Amino acid sequence: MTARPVPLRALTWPFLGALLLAALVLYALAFDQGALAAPVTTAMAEDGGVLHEFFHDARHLLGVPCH
Amino acid sequence: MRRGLAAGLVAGVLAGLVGLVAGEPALGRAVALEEAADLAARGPGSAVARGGQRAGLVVGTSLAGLAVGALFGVAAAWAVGRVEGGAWARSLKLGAVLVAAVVVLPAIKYPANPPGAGDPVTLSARTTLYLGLVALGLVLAAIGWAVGRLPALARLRVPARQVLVGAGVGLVAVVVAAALPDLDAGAAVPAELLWSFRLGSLATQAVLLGATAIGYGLLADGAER
Repeated sequence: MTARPVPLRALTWPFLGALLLAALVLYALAFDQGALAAPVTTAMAEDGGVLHEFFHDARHLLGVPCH
Repeated sequence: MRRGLAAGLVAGVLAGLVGLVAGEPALGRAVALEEAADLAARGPGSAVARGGQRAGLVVGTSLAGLAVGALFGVAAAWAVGRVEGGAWARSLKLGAVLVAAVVVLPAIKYPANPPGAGDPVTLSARTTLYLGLVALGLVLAAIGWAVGRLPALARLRVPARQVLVGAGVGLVAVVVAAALPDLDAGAAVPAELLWSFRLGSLATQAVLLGATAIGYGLLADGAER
């Protein structure tokens, strides 16, 4: 069975959607230092914010530079 | 065709979750090591309790798996008719290339550090370099794919072509990695612990991506029949 390539145009929206999802998730997960949680709570701001501390282990194990 | 795309996305997300379940044991072992490192480095009393952070690890990798799965689904949809082989073979190939580009290459140049090992002053520089190398790995993989499809190489048998392109891409990757600035390794952490942590980190990342590829391959193979 030889499959025809899916035209790139048909992939544009799924790609952008997946990219947006990944960008949001990975930003909160790996790089946020308190900006995202700031409107809700400023607790733990000195340590990089709630999200930073909560995802701390995942950040390290996934290889992202943390501190 | 659109339905196939949607199925690919859903399957990718599912595969991400599957990757997590499979990755759990490796995570558990690494967390214990990391916890020891954290205690040694900062002492007890970090802002979120260790139990919370461990839950955060699972939630975090789950979310990462979701994001990776979604992107993988799109990449796999792209690969139909552009990468040789059936759904299963394509998925495994994509997974292998991803692990090489996103996990192995950065791990060789900028290996993961346990808590307390890095200098906070260099954090943003380290983050930038790390991300840059991840992006470079992906670009190199894409270039390798494009070169492999050049008409000039089409006459070669498949193994010869793949070895040639693979060696070329690998060589460029080594040169690029060597050209990037070095970073100071963690000095305050015992070498044995550092090594264990890095192995655990590698395992976690490889399982996350590998299981995504395998899970997606299984689903896509089932859908193809």
